[in-house]
Formats: sequence, C-alpha cells, structure tokens
Amino acid sequence: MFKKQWYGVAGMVAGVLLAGSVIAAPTLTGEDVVRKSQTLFQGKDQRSTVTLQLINSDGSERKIVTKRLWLDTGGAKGIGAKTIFFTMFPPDSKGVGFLIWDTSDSKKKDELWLYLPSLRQVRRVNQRDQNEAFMGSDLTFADMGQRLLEEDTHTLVGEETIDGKDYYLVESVPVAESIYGKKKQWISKEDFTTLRIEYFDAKLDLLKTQDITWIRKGKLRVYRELNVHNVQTDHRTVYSISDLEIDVGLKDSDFSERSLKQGYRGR
Amino acid sequence: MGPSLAGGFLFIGLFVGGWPAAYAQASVELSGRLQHEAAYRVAHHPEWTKGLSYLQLQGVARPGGRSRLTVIGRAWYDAALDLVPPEDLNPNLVPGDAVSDSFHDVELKEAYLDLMTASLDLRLGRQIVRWGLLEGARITDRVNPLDFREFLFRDVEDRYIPLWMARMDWFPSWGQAQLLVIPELRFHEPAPAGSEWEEFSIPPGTEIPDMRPGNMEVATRLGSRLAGVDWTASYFYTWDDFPAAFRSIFGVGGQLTGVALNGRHERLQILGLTASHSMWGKIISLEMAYDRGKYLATDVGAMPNNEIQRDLVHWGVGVDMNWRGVDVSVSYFEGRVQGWRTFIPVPPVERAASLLVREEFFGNRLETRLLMLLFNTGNQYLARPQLGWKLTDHAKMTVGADLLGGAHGSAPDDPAGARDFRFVGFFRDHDRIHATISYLF
Repeated sequence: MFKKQWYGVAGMVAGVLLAGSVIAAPTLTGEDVVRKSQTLFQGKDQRSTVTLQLINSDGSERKIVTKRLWLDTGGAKGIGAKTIFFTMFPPDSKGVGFLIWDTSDSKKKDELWLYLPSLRQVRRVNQRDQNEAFMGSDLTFADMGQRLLEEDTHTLVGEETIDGKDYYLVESVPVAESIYGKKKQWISKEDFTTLRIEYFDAKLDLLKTQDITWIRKGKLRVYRELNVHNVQTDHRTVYSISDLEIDVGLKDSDFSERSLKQGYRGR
Repeated sequence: MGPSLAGGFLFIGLFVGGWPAAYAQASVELSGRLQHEAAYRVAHHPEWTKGLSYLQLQGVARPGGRSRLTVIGRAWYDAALDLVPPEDLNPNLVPGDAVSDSFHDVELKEAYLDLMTASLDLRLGRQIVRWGLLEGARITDRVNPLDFREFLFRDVEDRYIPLWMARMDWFPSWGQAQLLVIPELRFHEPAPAGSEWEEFSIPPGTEIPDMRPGNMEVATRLGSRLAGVDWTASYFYTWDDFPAAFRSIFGVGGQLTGVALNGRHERLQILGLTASHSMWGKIISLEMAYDRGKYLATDVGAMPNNEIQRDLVHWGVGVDMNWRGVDVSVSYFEGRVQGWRTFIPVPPVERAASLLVREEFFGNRLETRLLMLLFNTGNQYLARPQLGWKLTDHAKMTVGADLLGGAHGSAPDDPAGARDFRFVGFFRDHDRIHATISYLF
C-alpha cells in the first residue's frame, strides 16, 4: 500500500519538540512510549529530497531520488494529509509522479494517483500489498507506515543507555496481521525519537535492523538518515532526507492531478 | 506539418543552433535515449524484421516559473528495412506491390510551449493528448490518430501521432475543463507499403479536408469528483480517422464499365463518458463513447455509393487490483452498431477482453509482464509476454514475444475483405521474438 510507504517517509521526517514538557514520566507503559513516538509534530507542510540507496550483498548499488511535498490537511473532507512525489532519478523513471491522499477516516482507504510520462496520463492506482518491498528496498510498505497502536501489544521490557543517552526498550508483538513475529524498538527517553528497530520473522529469528539518525531543525528534531540491513539476505538500503524545508506555505492545490502532470517546478 | 525533414531541421536547430533569444538565459535541461530494437519472425518465413536504432533527445527550457518549452526529436535508422529484401520482410508481398523505401529519418516528435497561471494552463504546439481510462481500448482516447507502422506494438510516443494544437485547461473549484482546438488534420497512418505489418491502405486519391478554420477539430472535456468518483464527460467534433470509401459505378448503355473508389474523410461527433472509483482496494473504471454519424461500408449495391451512416456505441469496464503483490488489470470492451442491417459487413456487436499481469523481482530490477487480448470475432488473440531487466541506473534490456492467432480472414482489399477482415488474426503467421536495449541519460 503506497499509503504506508509515504506515511513512513512522513514519519521519518517527523519533527520532535525539544521543549522540556516532553520529558518522560517514569511510569510510562510500553504503549505510552510507542504512542508518544508516533505522534510527533511534523509542521504544517514539508518539502524535501528523498534518496534511496539500494546496496546488494556484492556491493553493487542503485539509487532512486525523489522530490517530496507533504501537507497536513487536518482532516478536511476526510483527508488527513496529502503527499506528492516526483521521481528525479534514475532517468527511466524521471517525471513519474505519485499523489497520495491519506484518509483520516479509518473505514476508508487512501487514494492514489500515478503519472507516467510515457503514457502521458494520470491514472488512479490501486493500493499495494502491505508486505511488498517499497521500491525494491528493505522496508515493506507496512514498515514505512505506522501500524495502529492496537494492532500490536507493546511491552516495556527494559531501559538501556547507549552513547550516554537513555532509551526505552519496547517489544511489540502483533495481534493483527503482520509478516513479523515481533519488533524491538529503542526509543529515546528524552525526546521519543526512535534510535533502532529490530524486526524478527515468524520464527522469531532476526530478519532486519533499522538504525535512524536525527538532526535539529529549528525547534524540531528531524530524521536525516535511515539505514536498513536485511541480515538474512545481506541487502542494505539507506534512506536519506535532504533539502528539508518545513512550513513553506504549500497549498491544497499543489496536491492535484494538475500538479502531477506539471511535474516538479522547484521552489 | 508531419514528422517531416523540416521538422527534423527545426529539432536539430533547437539543439545545435541554440535556443531562441528569449530562452537564452533560461534553465535548459537536456535528456535523451539511445535505443536499439531487434525483432525476429519465428513463424513461417523466419527472418530478422527489425533492426531499429535511434537517438532521441528532449530539451526542456524554463524561462520562468510559469512557462516551459519542450522539444522532443529523434533520428532513426532501421537496418532490417535497409538490408533485408522486401519479399523476405513481408512474405505476403506479391510482385508488383508498392514497397516503401524509407529506412531512416530525422523527426520532430513533439514541440510545445506551456504557459501556466493560477487556474489556467495553456499548451501550444505539437503534442499528444490522452483521454480515457482503459489502456489500449481507444473508447474516448481518440484525439490523436494512430501510426500502424508496427501494428499495435509501439509505445504511446510512437503509436500516437502528435498534432499541432492549442490545449487549454481550466481548473475551477468544481473540477477541470479542457478545450482543444486542432487545426492540423492528420489521420491514421497505415504501415508502409510492402512492410511486414501492412494490413490496410488508404484508397488512392482519398480526399483530405483543407486546413481552414471551418475544418478544425474541436474537443472539450469536463471533469469532476462527485461522491468519491472521478467523472469526465467529453465531446469531440472530429474527422473520422478512417476514410469512407464511396464506390461509384460507371455504366454506358446498361453495361457496367467500371467501379471507382472515392475515399473521403467525413465528420464525426464523439460523445464520451468515464468514471473511476476506488473500492475494496481495487480501481473500477468505466468508459463509454457514442459515435454519431459514422460511415460504414455496405455490400455492393445495397446503398447508393455503398456507404451508410450509423451511430456506434463503444463501452468498456476494467478492474485494477493487486493480488499478492502482482498487479492485475482485467478489462472487457464492446462495440455495437446502432440500427445494424444485414448488408453491413461489420458485425453488429464486437467484444474483446484484456488481461495485464505485472510483477517485479530482485529489488525491482526485473519486471515481468504479460498482456493478453482476446476477441470474440474469429477467436483472435494477441499475447505479449515480456521481461525487462534494469542493467544499471541508465541502461535497460527487454526481451519478449508477440504472438498472434485466430482466424486469418481476408485482406481488406479482397472482395470478401469487408465481411471477413480480421484485424489481429490477419497476422497470425507473424509471431516474433524481440529484444530492446536502451541507454537513458
């Protein structure tokens, strides 16, 4: 499902308020910690470059570069957010655009449109299988998004100090459909950013690891790079965000079929 | 104003001679593709039938945030057309048949200027406009005529003939309104005479309408979103891309002395409607068109001039879904002749179905694709299995097969052709394998 794919990127660039008010209380449950990590302030809109480096076990690499625009529509007309992606690289995908209207109604599904320059046409497209690899990377569409809290049971299994910083260690076991047996997450006690996620397969063998680095952007802390390693196939993917701008004044009309056809017009 | 040598010079001029002065300081982006395509006929008279190489360049200049100039051109050479004897390329060739000697060219593909305002977009120039929802069905998607030089096997940019036109898109709060004004009059182009895919031809002396204001094609389309459904309604005042072949019979003193075919393009009105809705994780698409005033051939002597005007109804429905990670599209199409009579050779109803299955492997490096088309008339079918491999970020290789079958029927110019013509089955002995390698930059 593309929804999850691009959600996830939205989540990756999620900002975190550094104000003292978010200092963790000692009685938080595993669910409280995950909830706080999932509800981070992202600004009203964003514009950025998203780059994927796909690295095979033999060291060969492939790169995908997209321009991403995102708008929080606040649930107007049942739409929570709108995202548009313009592929800039590789050349055979240049100009390909995705438009996603992310529904705020849990009973409805997201709506997606795809513009293929080779067809000269915008087409409405169906949502993808959640377990399908996102653009050939090591994350699935489901990984890229945020599962609903109630789809897993979250248990605070410990606390760890890494590089002088304190982290909650939360174990999430699915109660709804998932390809994973469980997940482990290291979430900062200071600002609830996620440092690391470990994914385990149905047999509870380690499948892949995801390490996230963050930078400061004004009052926010934002995702800069995400490194995913599938330990079973030795394939890696590096997702990085650059040229990130927050609250640049994007309008609802910037997220339309017309925008898809016009392509990325720069700033 | 076709894809002529003049167009080629314009294209070369823009790339080599420099941009017009107004664009001298504009940001200019160049991209292109170097591509080689080969095909080998495996059924009956095996032969290399394609050895096409081309260089395509695209230039985009952005003199400002609200305007953009795009020029796409191509230089091509086909070694098979150059080196393989025509009778080997087309085993159906009969001595004396006309044979095209074209095996290279420089073409202007598209060239247009975009002007964009807050609620209005204007595109002026040589361009392709796509309507419709069901890929390949041509129900409402009939703005640009088709080039049949390689039957139905070319990509959109080669299958659709670009036209010089003005296109205006207005974006009011309720949706979108489009207006097309098309002064250039071009029609379907059959495969070159004597070529492998020659099937139908334009009658010699066919009358082409003059290019004057009264003969322009005009189209409008309105689109809106109601109850979660994307709707469009369209009207196209066009010329029939296939000429009506009026027969004149000459006689002296009661004796038949000759029959003359007077081909002529006639006006046609096409009313269209499309709807698209996302439901249960699937995309449901519906498309309809009503052709008003289409000329159809009749049996000899049934009507004066042996043509009759009838209205046609085309419709189709399609479902796009994802099944276990595999993209699947299924469509059904139907065409009906309103007021059909037994002396009209084309069937009263023609039905077809299509299936497209697509999946990617190895981190999206390998793409597998299968397209199937089935026609109820003559049990005709077309199957196109294909494998595409991304060699690098810039290079891609594709291999596949084109398999055609069903009743062969009669050639369009045979006496029985009007009643027994089979569009796909006619090439049932043309099965081929093909390979393409392209480098994009």
